[in-house]
Amino acid sequence: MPILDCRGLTRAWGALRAVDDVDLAVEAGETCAVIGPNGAGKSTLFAMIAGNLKKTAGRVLLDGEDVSALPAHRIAARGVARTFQITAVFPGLPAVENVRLGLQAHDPLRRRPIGGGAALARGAEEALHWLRRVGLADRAATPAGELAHGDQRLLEVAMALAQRPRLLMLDEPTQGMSVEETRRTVDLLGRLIAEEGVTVLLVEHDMEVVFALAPRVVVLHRGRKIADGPAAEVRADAGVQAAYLGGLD
Amino acid sequence: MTPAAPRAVLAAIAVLAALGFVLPGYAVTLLTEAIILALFALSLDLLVGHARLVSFGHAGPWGFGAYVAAGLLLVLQLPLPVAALGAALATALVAVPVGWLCVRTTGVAFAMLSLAFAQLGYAVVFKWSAVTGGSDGLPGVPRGGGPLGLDWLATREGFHVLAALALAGAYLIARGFTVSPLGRVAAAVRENEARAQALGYDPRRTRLAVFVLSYGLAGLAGGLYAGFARYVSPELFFWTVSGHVLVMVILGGAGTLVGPMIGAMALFFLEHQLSGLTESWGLALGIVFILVVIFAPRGLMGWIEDALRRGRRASRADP
Repeated sequence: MPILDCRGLTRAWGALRAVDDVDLAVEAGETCAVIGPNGAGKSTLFAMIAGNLKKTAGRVLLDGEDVSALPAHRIAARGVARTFQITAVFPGLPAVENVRLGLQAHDPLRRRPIGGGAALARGAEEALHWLRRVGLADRAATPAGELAHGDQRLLEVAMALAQRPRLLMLDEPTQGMSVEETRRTVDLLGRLIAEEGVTVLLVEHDMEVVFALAPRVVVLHRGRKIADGPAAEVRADAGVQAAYLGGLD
Repeated sequence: MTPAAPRAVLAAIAVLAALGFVLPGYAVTLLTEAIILALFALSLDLLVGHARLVSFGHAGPWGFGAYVAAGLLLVLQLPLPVAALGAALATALVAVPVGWLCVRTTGVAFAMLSLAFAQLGYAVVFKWSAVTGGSDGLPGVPRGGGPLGLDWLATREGFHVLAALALAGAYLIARGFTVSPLGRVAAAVRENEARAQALGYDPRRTRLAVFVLSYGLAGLAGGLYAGFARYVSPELFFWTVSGHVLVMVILGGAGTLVGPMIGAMALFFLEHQLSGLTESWGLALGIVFILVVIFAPRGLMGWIEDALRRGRRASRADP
C-alpha cells in the first residue's frame, strides 16, 4: 500500500482549475519530486495534501486511511512533516527550542500545562542531536530569526525530521540559496534521506536539485499531471520539454 | 522566557506582605489594592505577552469575578478565600465558551471580540437590576471569615496577606505554565501559527488554554477586589478598565510576567501621587507613558534588565 495516495485531487477558484484531477501515489521509501513551471499547481497540491487548503474534489489517503477532511495539525500528527516554500521557523525562539517543539509533538506529556520537566529535558537533548545532523549545533542558542537564510531552511529540515515523519514534504528546500549553498544542501538532504529511510515528496524549481535527489519525477502543467516516471525518462519526454522549457507562456 | 528568577519574585512578594504589618493603616490599604491590580495585570500578560493576543476586554473577567465573589459573600456568606477561589473557577468556566469564540481570531479582531464580551457583561449587570443591583451595584459586601476561624483574614492585615498569597500563587501558576510543554507550544503558536500547526499542534486549542488560564486569574483578582472594596458596580466592566490594565502591562513590559506586576504597582502609585498634586494628573501620566514607550520600548522590565546587565558587565570589568 502506498504511504500517500491522492485520487482525483482538484482545486478550483471559479473557472480556474489550479489542480485538476491529479492522481499521485508515493510508496514507502521513495523520493518523488513534483515539478512544473510557475503556476502549474505544485504549491496548491502540496497545501491540499498537508490539510492547509480545502479540496474542491478528490481524496487523500495516508496509509490507506482517508484524511481528506482533517485539519493540518491532525495530518501532521499522523506522520506528515513539511517545510514551507517561504521559510517558517519560530523566529523568537532559540534554534534548539524550534527543533525540540518538533520532538515534543510526539511526547505523551506534550499537553502538560504545568511541570513536564522530564519531557522538556529529554527533548532538549535529542534536539541537539538533530541540530548536529544539519550542522547547526553551534547555533543552538541563537534565536532562529537571527540565523542566516540558508541556515533557517536547514533548521526547518531538522524540525521536520525530528517529527520522525512517515512522509516528509519539502517545498523548494533550496529556494533563495546561492549555488554553493544549494550544492551543500542537496548533499546534506540526500544523505539525510538515505540515512533516515524517510519517504519524501519534493516540490522544486531547480532541475539540478530534482535530478540529484529524486529517482521519480511527476510533472504538473496547468494543474494537470502530464508525466510521471523515472527521472531519466521524464527528462527525455518531448511533451515535458515543451511544457517546461516553454513554461514562460 | 521569563528572565527573573522565581525566588527573587516570591521574596519581593513576601516583603510586600510583611509591609502590611509595618506601614500605617492607610498605606496598607493602598498597597493591598496595588497587589490586587498587580495580579490583574499578571493575568493579562499571559494573553498579551505570552500568546500575543491583545485583549481589550480584560474588564470582563475582572468584573465577572468580582460579581461572583460578591454573590458568594453576600448570599452564601462564604469565607473570603473560598469566595475568591470560587470567582476564579467560575470565571475560568465561562471563559471556555467565550474563549472558544474569541480565539478563532487574532490581532485586532481578537481585541474587538474580547471588548464586545466585556461590554456584554457591562450591559447585563446594568440591566439585570433584580440580581446585580443595576447601576447602583451591590454595596455592603461582607468580608467573612466563615466557620473555619478565618476571621483574621477579614482584618486589614489579614486581607493584605491574603492578597499577597494570591499574587504569589498566581505568579507561580503563570510562570509554571509559560515554561511547561503546553506553555512552550503557546509560545510557538505566537511565533508562527502555520509552523506550529505543521508540527501537529492545534493553534486554537492552545490559545484557548491560555485564554482560560488568563481569565481565571483575572477572575481571582476581581474576586479579591470585591472583598477589598466591599462594593461592586457595573463600572468594573467598563472599557476604560480594560485600557487601564493594558497600559499597566505595556508599561511594565509585556511577556515578562514580572514587568506587568511592577507596571501595575508603579502606575497605581504614580496616579495616586499625581492626583494629590494636580488636577491634570492624567496629562502628566500620559507624558510618562509616552516617554516610557519611546525610551524603554520593552517597558520598565526591559529597562531594569538592561541596567542589571550593564551593572554586571561593569563589575566584571572592574575587579
